Amino acid sequence: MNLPDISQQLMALAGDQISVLGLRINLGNLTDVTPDTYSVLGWIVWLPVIGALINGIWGKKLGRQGVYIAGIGAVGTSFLLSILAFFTLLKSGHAPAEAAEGANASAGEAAHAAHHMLSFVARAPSIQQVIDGVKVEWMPWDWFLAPTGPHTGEMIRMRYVLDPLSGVMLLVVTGVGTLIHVYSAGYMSHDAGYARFFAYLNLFIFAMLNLILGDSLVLLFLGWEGVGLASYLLIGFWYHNAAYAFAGRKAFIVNRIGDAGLLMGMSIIAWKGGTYTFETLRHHVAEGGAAWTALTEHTGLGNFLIDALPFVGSIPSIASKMELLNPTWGGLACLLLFVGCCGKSAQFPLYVWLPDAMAGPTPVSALIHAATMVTAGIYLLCRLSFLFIHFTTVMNIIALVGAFTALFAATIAVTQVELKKVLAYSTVSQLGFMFIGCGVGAFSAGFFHVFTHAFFKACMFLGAGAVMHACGDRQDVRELGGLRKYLPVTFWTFLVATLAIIGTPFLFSGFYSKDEILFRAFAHTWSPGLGKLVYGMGVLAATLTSFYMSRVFILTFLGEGPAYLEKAGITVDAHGHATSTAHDDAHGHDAHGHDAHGDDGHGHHDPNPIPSEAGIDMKLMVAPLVVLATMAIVASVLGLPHWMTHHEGMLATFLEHPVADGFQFVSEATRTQRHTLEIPAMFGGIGAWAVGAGLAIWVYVSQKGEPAKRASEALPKLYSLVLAKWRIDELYDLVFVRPLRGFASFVAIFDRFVIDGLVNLVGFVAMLLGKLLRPMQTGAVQVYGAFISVGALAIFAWAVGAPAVVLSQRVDGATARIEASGGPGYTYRWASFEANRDATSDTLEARCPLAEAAATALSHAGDGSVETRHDEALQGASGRCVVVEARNAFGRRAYARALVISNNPGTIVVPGTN
Amino acid sequence: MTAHLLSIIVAAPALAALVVLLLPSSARLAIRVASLAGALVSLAGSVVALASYDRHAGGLQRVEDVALVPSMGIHLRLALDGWGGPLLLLTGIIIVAGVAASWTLASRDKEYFVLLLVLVAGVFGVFVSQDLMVFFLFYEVAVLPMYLLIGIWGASHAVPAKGPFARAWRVFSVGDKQYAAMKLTLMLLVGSAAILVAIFAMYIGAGARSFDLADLAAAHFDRRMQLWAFPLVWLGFGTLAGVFPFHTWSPDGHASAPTAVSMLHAGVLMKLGAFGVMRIGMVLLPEGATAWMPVVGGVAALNVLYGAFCAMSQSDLKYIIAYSSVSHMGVVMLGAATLTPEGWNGAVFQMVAHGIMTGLFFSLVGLVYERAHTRSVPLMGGFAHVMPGVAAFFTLACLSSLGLPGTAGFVSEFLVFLGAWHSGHYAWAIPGVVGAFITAIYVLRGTRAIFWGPGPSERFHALTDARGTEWVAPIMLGVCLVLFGLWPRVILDSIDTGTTAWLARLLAVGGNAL
Repeated sequence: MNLPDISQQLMALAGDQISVLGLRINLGNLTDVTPDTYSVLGWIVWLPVIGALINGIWGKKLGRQGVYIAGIGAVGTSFLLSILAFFTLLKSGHAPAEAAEGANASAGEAAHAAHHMLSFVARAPSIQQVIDGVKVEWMPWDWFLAPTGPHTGEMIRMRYVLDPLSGVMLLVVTGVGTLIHVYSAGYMSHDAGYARFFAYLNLFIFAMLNLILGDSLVLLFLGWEGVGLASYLLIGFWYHNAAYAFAGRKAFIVNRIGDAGLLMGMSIIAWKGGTYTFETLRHHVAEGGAAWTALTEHTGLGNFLIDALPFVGSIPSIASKMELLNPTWGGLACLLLFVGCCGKSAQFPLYVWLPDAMAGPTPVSALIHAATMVTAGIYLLCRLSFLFIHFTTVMNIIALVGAFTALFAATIAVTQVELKKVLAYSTVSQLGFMFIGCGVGAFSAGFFHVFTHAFFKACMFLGAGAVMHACGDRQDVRELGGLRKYLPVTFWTFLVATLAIIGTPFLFSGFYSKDEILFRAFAHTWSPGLGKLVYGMGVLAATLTSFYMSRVFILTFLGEGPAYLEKAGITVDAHGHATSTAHDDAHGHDAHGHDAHGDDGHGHHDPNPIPSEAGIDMKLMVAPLVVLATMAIVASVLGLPHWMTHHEGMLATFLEHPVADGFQFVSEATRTQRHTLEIPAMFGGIGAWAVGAGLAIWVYVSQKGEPAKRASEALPKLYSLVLAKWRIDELYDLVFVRPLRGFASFVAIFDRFVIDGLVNLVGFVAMLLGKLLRPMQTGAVQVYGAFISVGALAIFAWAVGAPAVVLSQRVDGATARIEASGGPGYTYRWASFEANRDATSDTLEARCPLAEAAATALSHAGDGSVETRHDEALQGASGRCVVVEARNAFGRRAYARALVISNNPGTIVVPGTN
Repeated sequence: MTAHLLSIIVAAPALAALVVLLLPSSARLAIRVASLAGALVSLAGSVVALASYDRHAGGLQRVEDVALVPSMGIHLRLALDGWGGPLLLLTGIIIVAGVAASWTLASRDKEYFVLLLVLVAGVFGVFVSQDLMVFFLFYEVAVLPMYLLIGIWGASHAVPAKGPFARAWRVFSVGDKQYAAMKLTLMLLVGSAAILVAIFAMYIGAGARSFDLADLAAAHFDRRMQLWAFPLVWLGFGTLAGVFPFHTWSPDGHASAPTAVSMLHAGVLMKLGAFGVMRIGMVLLPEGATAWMPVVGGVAALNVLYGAFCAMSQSDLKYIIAYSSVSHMGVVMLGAATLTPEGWNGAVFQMVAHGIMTGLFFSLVGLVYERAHTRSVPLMGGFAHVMPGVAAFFTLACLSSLGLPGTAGFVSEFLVFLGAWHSGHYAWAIPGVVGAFITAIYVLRGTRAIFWGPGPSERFHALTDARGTEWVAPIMLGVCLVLFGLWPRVILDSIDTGTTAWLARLLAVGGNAL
């Protein structure tokens, strides 16, 4: 019986209609959907927003119970609806499956049927469906029209699509999210800001759901930045602690670098691929790939760059789709997207924010910084795997970065003494494993690790939170120990999670997911050398993982009772009753217990509490642990290796449509042959597990930590360097932060003193001029009189000087009107005469020479008058010269002339005086 | 009634100003109610205007035409185009929020409200004027009251000058409200003079018959004239838009101005500058615009980064916001310079988005300043303990400022970024990315320094969260930020109508000229 049948049975059990709070919900309508109207998706996404708004605005008035109901209710309902939606998805995939089954029934292959048992969704029959897979979707409104290139655009819609990939992710996010909400009700029970906390958590769920359900890169980006915001708010949740607030800001800003990469990659994809929508992009890539293949086969050129095929450019529709597969653009886009993934998923060199993010409350670390948000990068790679798979160089970079990060973070984790710090570096390391998977083309293997890691890592973080809650906010493993007696449920669940993460063979999910990744690296097809290298690094990292996780577990839960109790002189009898031998010390603070990374939002009652799982808080907290630990084992089923079942893992099969796989590019025979490497590759993983765990047991159980002490004393410099996290933060501070800050200061000073200085200088000059002229305004009549006299003399001098006359003209019909400029006491004598016919050019000098003609004309002009205007009729082709003699009151004279030519009436050349 | 909707929008604040002028100074409530009524009428009118604008028909709608000086071709010609509706709406929102933010003003409130309302009437006028001369007159009406508003109601020396040049600053009275008011007015007037020259060049170049924008756009100006007239328009209006290096009035002016004036100035007035560059400079002088675009875009890109870096090292809260305005107005100019539809849409959308965002910023800064009596960020800290509501809205404004998807800031920055990318000037995409990054640094640093950290020091223990009418501005503006972020088509569709028409023509004419 496969899952769709289960869903149908569930429906049958519930009846067609159920009644909730008087609202009759027709289940038939909820599961029989036309694809674009599946509004359940809308409720799944937007319910958390409602929860966030309620708690954010009225949280204080609601009281604790109300806040818990609103917060947990919103996410819990979302989870239940997610299950419903998931079954709907299976059901909608079932119809084509049945069709395919019918078609193949005559063949009656037992293997085929068995395959169906394992694959939830059968292979879809049509090509269209191979590309699109099965999905349900919901679209409430158009967001905005985003350009994809010059003069082309695409409407970005608020459209949510559920397909197998987002379906699995959806269940993880809402499922683990609900558990952590429940846990938080216990964990935050002493915190005053509980309403704000639940509002932020709900906001996070909303953003995360946008990220995974959004149908386009832009909507994914909305979620991408949204989860960053929620993470920022939650890391700095206890904002009164400046260090926490700083950690929140650091997370946001480091992520911004990644986001910039994502933004640029996204815009290149839209530009060269013509779309933001995953589905359309998939079609374009498929078509482009087909065109490539056709072209290369046709021309026999092989896999050359698209630029080598100039004629392709003449087919715009295909060219644009193929351009994205051009290694330059497509590779660049993918590389930039990977930069985004490095930020969000904490890969080298952008991982630095994640360890600091542990400043947030522990449920946040579990939900956001371990199980869900930080896996967004892997999700994005899987989502776009059909594109990434075309760029082997980028894939190799991804694999190498992943392997390096896995190893690098593991070395740091070995030396750390704080529980949450170890878990944080372990998360970075495990994310590296996931990227190895993606980088070697085994996207579904990487995603399987996302899935299993979500359970065991969340379980460990929540276990760590329970330890801290029970032990007065202590998380330094040197102060803990022997908690097995006090916190049995936490102990057992933590044990399961530890066994899972270190890859204990055959029973735990971590083994299968890590093993699949390592095998795929080992069996890497297109760069075998790189595959072996990555495999080696992965095994080494796995060994370290096995060592440090065992170490932390041993130090926390095994051995003698918690060290802080012993220090405080409290002994606990067999019934759990405390007897203090040094009563005075019992209330003294332990200096180590309150460093910058302790959760100091609660638990101030007793500085040295006896750890216990009694009490409602702890009950709320350990219940999710049990569920998560169970899942850490059960999840194995989804990814059993080929050598056990002779099939691809269930999850891999389920994800076959949305997620491309490197194996799709090799022949069936090669694939089968490759599977023979599974068992040899597995020995590396098992060896890593055995060596690491064995070493830890020897060092910390048999020898009580002595070898570790000796090792650190033998190599003090190396030890302190690793303990200080390779001083990467300090390096960044020196190389990036300080120069940036210095440059900003320089710019600010430049602005104030140079740019604004120039502005002030202009003002200063104006003021200076004013100052210079100010002495003239003395108010003394004699001085004014003197100024007047000087002025009068100046005017006189000007008046008796040579008169100046300038002519201006206007053409009015057949006459040209010449006008002379005026002056005091001027009189004018106008005259005109025939212009010189023989001149070769139309210049004034040539046509109207100052010669006798002018003198003769003026001598006939009679006495002067005050008339400043002279009209000259336009006649004759040679034109006429106008001359005027201006005479001022003192009889001084000046002359001016003009030429009027009728065939070019606009052109009258006006001379100066002479 | 609705036939004269645009007149009503423009006249309502002016009439309210008149009413306030007639009221006795002692009638403080009546003054406020009258002012608010005027603002609300305009806002309602703007909403109706935007909603009723026929996006498919496009072009000029609701045309009203009264000849003012027929012999010179000056008409009071109002009409709504694609860009007008969103910008009217922005102005309406900001003035209502501004009046609400001024509710508790203590001194000379009558004169204050009169000037505020006159100013905003000018702003409304600019956005609907279709006559260049009337456009310019409204522009001056909007700009000049600023001198009095800052000079009388402003604040001096919030953060005293320090450093080697402190003495020189004292000589110039840097930081003084009179200094700020004078600097702002003089710089903007020099800009106006440049604009006026260009206006007359266009008027004469088009035959000295008409100031109608449509007539001027249809005239084929001499290419050489366009080449010298465009920079005059660009720098003239650009001074108000904070174009580097003529931006230095902005930090001083915004820092000295009272809350509502800062809101109006950064929120709306700076947009007049950018609007002028685009609507007058680029649309009327296409060849000049095309030729100058590399320079305009380069300077805009510089603006984005320069403003962001300056903001990063300020310690006065208002200076941080003011420099961030310089940076964000760079985004507007950058979008305009791309000469792509997405760039222009992004530019106009950024006018609205930034207007609302910076209005929100200044209203909150005003609240903080009124209570803490300091704007010096290093003195603050832990204010979220005593004013959680203010902290929440401040964070929201920060998020829009750094372009978080879901807020209005994202849509515009994304569009401008893509426009820069598609314009072929790949380098222009850098500020879109780096600027957003630097913005994240300084806004989050500001948030942390002001609101986070250990509880506020003794001095600030008595601070309270916003109360009563003080909530109006933050809530209104905050809701708008999210609304326009999630549903940008409310205004983007209308903006696109305007963009499409003008840009097609510009590219046709300017493109040929190249």
